[in-house]
Parts: sequence; C-alpha cells; structure tokens
Amino acid sequence: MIRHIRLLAWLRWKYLWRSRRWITAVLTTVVSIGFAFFLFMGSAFALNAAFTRVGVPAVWELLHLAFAVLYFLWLYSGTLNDLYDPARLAPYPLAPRTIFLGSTLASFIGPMPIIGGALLAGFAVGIPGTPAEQVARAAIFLFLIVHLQLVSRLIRLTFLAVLTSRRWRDAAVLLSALFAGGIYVSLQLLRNDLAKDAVRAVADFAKAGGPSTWLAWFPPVWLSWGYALDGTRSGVGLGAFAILTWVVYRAGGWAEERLAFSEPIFHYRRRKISAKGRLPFLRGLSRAIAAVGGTIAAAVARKEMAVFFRDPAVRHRVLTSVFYVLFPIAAPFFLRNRGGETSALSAANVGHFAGIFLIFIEMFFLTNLFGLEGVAVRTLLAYPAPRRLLFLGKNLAYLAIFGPFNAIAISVPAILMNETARLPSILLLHFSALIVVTALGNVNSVYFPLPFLSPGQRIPRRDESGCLVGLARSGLYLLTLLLLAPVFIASFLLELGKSPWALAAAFAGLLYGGVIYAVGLKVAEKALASREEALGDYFRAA
Amino acid sequence: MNEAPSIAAVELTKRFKETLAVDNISFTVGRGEFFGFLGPNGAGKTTTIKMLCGLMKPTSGRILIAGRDVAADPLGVKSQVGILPETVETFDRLTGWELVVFSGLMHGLPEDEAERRAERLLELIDLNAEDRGRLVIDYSMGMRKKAALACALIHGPGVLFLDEPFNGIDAISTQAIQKVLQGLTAKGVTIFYTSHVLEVVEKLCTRIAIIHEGRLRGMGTVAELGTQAGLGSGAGLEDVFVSMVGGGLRPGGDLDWIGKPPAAGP
Repeated sequence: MIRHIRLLAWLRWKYLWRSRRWITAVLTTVVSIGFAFFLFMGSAFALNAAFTRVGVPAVWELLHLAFAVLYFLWLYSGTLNDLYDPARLAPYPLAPRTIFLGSTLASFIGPMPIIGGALLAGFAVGIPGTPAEQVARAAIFLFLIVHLQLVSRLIRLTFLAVLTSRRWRDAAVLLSALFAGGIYVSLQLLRNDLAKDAVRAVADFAKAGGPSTWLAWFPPVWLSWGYALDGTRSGVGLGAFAILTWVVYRAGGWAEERLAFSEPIFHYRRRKISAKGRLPFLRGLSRAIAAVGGTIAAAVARKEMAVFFRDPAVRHRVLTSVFYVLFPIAAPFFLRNRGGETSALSAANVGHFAGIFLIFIEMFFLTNLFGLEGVAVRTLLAYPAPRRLLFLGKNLAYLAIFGPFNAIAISVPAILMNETARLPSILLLHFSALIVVTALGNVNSVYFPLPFLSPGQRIPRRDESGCLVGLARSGLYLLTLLLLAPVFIASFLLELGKSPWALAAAFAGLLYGGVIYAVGLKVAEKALASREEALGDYFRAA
Repeated sequence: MNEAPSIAAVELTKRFKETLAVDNISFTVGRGEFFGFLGPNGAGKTTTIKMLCGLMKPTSGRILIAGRDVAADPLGVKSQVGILPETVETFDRLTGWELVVFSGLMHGLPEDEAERRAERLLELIDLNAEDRGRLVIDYSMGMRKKAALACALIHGPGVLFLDEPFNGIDAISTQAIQKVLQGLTAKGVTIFYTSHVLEVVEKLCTRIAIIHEGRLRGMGTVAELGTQAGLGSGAGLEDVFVSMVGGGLRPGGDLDWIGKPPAAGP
C-alpha cells in the first residue's frame, strides 16, 4: 500500500511539474510563501492577543465555531464537481481504498501545504501552551486538513456515484451555486445596523458556550475539542473524529470502486433523438443566422449551440456562474435598502451595471471561441471555409444564446425600478458593448486560447505560457476596456444630464460597436491565417 | 501522360526544433492512383500527410494538390481533399447525422444536398437510424472512424488522405468500404493511404512508398520495391518493408518473465 501511495504521489508530482513551466512553479511558490508568511503572522498574533485580552473559554468557543465554518466552507467549495475521471487507475491491481487514500494524500503536492502549513504553525504558536502541546496541536491540525481532503473527495465521488443521472447532477450544481449566491446577496441586503447586531450576536453566542452546546453534533467541533487538549472531552472528541475519518476512508474505497466499474457516466445521457437527431429550435435559429451570415456561418453557429447545450463541461461552468445573475436582479432592492428613495440616475446605473456584469460572466465564452472545440479545432480548420465565416458563425451563435438572456436580465431590474422609458437606450448601449467585446474576443481567441477541460483531461504544458503571455492577455483585456470607454462615458454623461439625446447616442454606440467589430474581424482573420497550426497544437490531447 | 499529378511533393522537409521529421522527400501521385505510404511508428507519415493537406507548414519544399500550391491557396486545396486522420478528433457533441451534414455544409453544399448525400453515406457505412441520432462521443472507435470517413467523402473530393481508415472497423464494413474506395479510384479519385496492415496495402495499392526516419527508402509497385530492396521482384511486401526499415527481432525479445506475475497482491 505504501508503495502504491508513493507511486500515486510520484504521478501527481510529474503531472504538476510537466503541466507548467519552471518559472511559473517558482513564482507560484514565492507568492504562496509570501501569502503564507502573512497568514502565519496574522493568525499567530490574532490568537495570542485574543487569548491574552479576552476570556480563554470564550476564545475557545470562537475557535470551535471557526473550525465548524472552515469545515463547511472547505467541503462546500470543492465537492460538487462532476469533472472527475476515476477510471484511469482501474486497470492496475490497486485496492480502491488505496486509490482513495493515495490520491487524497497526493493532492497535497503543490502550493496548498504552504498555506495550510502557515495556518497550522500560526495556530500552534498563537495559542498559549507548552512546546509538547504546540506539537500536539500541529499534529491535530494536520489531521483536520487530511480529513477535510478525504471528506471532500468522498463527497465528490458520492455525488457522481449516487446522482447517476446528469439532470440530477445539474440540478445539484445549480442549487449549490444559487445557495452560495443567495447567501452573498442576503448579506448585501442586510442593513448596516442589523449587520452590527449580527456580529454582536455571534460574539454573545460564543461567550454563552453556544458552539459546544448547539454544534456538538458537528464533527469539526469534536476535533476542536481535541485541539483544546483539556481533558476527557478532548480525548472523546479526538476519538470520535478519528472513527469518523476511518469510516470516510472505508466509504471512499467503496465509492472509488463503484465509479471505476460503472457505466461511462460522463457521457451525454443517451436518449432517443427525433429523426436524424436534429433539434428543431437549433434548426430554426440556424435558418435565421443563415439569412444573415450564409450557410457556412449558420452551420458553425448550429454546431456551436449544439455543443454549448450538450457539453457537460460547459453546462457545469454555466451553472456555477448562475448565481452572478442574482446580483443585478437584487440591485434595486439593495439601492432601496441603502438609499431610501431611488434616484433616476441610480436606476439607470443599475441597468448598465447589470449589463457590465453579464458581459463579465459571458467573457469566458466570447473571448475563447476555440475553447469548446478542443482538439477538434484541427478538424474545424481543415475545412475550406473562409475564416471570417467561422468567427461570424460563432459570434452569431453566442449572440443568439446570450442576447435574449441579457435583454431579460437587464429589463427585469429596470421594470422593477419603473425605469422602462430608459430601457431602450440601456439595451442598445449594452449590445454595443457586447459587440465590442465580441470583436476583441475574436482576436483574443486566436492569440490566447484556453482549453475547456473535459473528464480526465489536464491542462497541457505550453511552451508559450508564462508571465509574458499573461501580461499580453491582460493587455488585450485592457484594450477591450479602453475601446468600451466611449460607450460607457457617453451613457454616463447622458444619464447624468437626463438628456433627450440618450436614444440617439445609444444608436451611435451601436454604430461604433459595428465599426470595431469589422476591424476586429479583419485582424482576427489575419491572425488566424498565421496561427492555425499553433492553435491545433495547443489543443492537442493531454 | 501530360496531365498534372494529383499530388506532387517537391523536396519536402519538416523540422521540429532538433528533430528532422521529414527529410527532403519528393514524389508524385497520379490521378486515380491508390497510393500506399508506409513506415514504422515515428517515421514521418502523419507529418507528411498533414503537410500535404495544408494542416502543417513545411520547413521547406513545395506541395501541389491537383495543380494547386498548398502554400499559396490552402483553402482551395482543402476544398479538393478529404481527410480521415488516424485519431478522429471531431465534434463529439454532435450526433452522427449532424456531424456528416455539418461537414457537407462546411464545404459549401446546400443543406438539402448535404442531407441527401449524408443519407447515402450513412447507409453505405451501415450506421443505422438509431445510431445516427446518438452523439459521436458515445460511439465506439469503429463507428467514429466510419462517421469520419463519411465526412471525408461528402463533398466529393478529388484526393483522399486516409490514415489507418480500417482501424477498429468490423470486417463486413471494411469489405464494403474497400469496394467503395476501389470504385472511387476507377472514377479518377486519388487515394493516399497509410496503414500498418501490410496485407491490405498490398491488396489495394497500385503503388507504394516506404518512409523511414523522415527519408523515402523506396517507391513503386510491390515487385519494384522487391527489386529495390534486393529481394527480387517476387518478394512479399512484409519482407520488403522489414528489409527497407531495418527490422527484425530486437535484443531482449525473449521476455522470460511472461507468465510469472508477482506473488504478492496489492
């Protein structure tokens, strides 16, 4: 078993090392160490001060609560991920439990231990105690981190093993995303005075021993009792936590086995598709696109939309971004809450804010047109189609997908704030901005593609990756912002002055967007001509 | 014969940093020829095909496909050729039907014509109605290959590049496809074919080239290759091939541990 775990760690090390350049690895390590230093100092000083100034029992109760929150957030943030392929190790004579434990331990190879180690040391030093107690606490903290990774992996595997229907998994991911977004929006809607009350309430809860009483059922609190090293309760807590970890380890083995030998769950669910497998709405949309861009652009658009709606990797990304949509929709309530009577200016700004937010969410797709193709980009570029039609087809597909959605998401806040009169200019300016981003997105897609990871696929090592590419990519995004500036400045000035020319200016914005798009398309087409081979190589299978 | 060759490679070279993948090779393939291109793994076959199709730029040299210069008119060349790569990297979230029609549309066919041809091609490769409605990602390797072959044929190319086309395809479909391919050459379509199954190459190809370590080692009919290899015109292709690429059982071929797995389990 030790031999196999060592081999899995070696495998992880090789993947990690070969998936990035050494300079990136060095920079990541340096940045992590810098961050870790602040974490260590911060946690050590904060805990030391707390134990010196506040009553010891209350601080321990706060620590119990902190352990509980850390446990919840850790598991929540990394568990509902269905892009995991457990079948790679299935052909080897490894016990499933060894795979489970080995893969978990191997996941510590990377920058994470630097951050975890800093917290571990900060906590150990910050809490008063003898050197033996400090060493014991460091060991217990390490136990917590290993346990967290084990449970996180178990939940991820169980998620796949139990929710075998893709629809159920999608629903779970959506609910999870909405839950996180809901919490954030709720916090934003909380009035300042209520927020102060809430902080006081948490402090009172800790002082009254609430975490030990009300959260006694929650495993991290058991471990936190053990961490206190204060007698029988510590021993019982630590023992209970150890038993739970052992159960997790056994269950993990079961889940690994269940997944490795199950049906290929990552594939699109087989179902009977109507004659010749055509989706009527795609056909309808592609006819409309054919009228604008011709048959080839329509074929590209239809393919793009089919992939967009069918690829689980895309769906996962879209579903996990869904909660962002809550922000613009909640904005009117937020403004009313903070400012009492809502002004027309803030109402219009809500519309623009919603638009910018939506573009920000959609930028990944708009600026990474070949990401969905992956290795099939070579096939796409093997067709004798004029390259501008490839871009046009993809752009029209995204306009068809995002356009109606954005229009609704912008209109809802405007209607809620009785600002329907300004809605046309807000919408026109939004679409001008969308077109400008699309134009720069075409260029960005050629120079800075990003692969869409599918199950079992890893980011390939790239010779051209590194800080300079990152800087160049950022530069292109900055250029996008600069090109968007006229649109935003015009809208701001017009809204400020409540000008009757708002609609005319919005049309001018649309014209401006059209010119930028035409130039962007030309540049992208020229760039693609010289980078087709490089693009194909980039997306090679990992 | 004054007719321009379907494929003409002139002093073709491809270098990847330190590696010379293709080293100054020249050959021509006439219209309607079934041309075999053989070589061991890593010999430079796929690199050559990629350059011929316009998917990779050569370091030096010139390529003409049906009289068109690949460097000067890459899109024009792509419209003349059909490609079936060894590893099918295609749009696997489309159904088989959608994929083939898409391919036709990308070559500029009107939609109804693309659908008509897709219908006939899918019938030919024996992809039934249920399979046509399934996503390509759910296909077996053989089915993927068949669908990709249909994509390569839908626009009626004058030159076909086939890289291991029968790999993973069942015997019945293989036979049917072989007949179709032979029929195509009779109509003047040129087929550039690579495979490691030498029996099939010997059966189908009218002329064969053998490449090893980026250089052409021989070219001609099987009888001519036998003579070039010094084995005589009656030698079989397998013997000729092994002789030209310097094959034979390597030292260590006796794997004395086979049949003796480790005693200790996991």
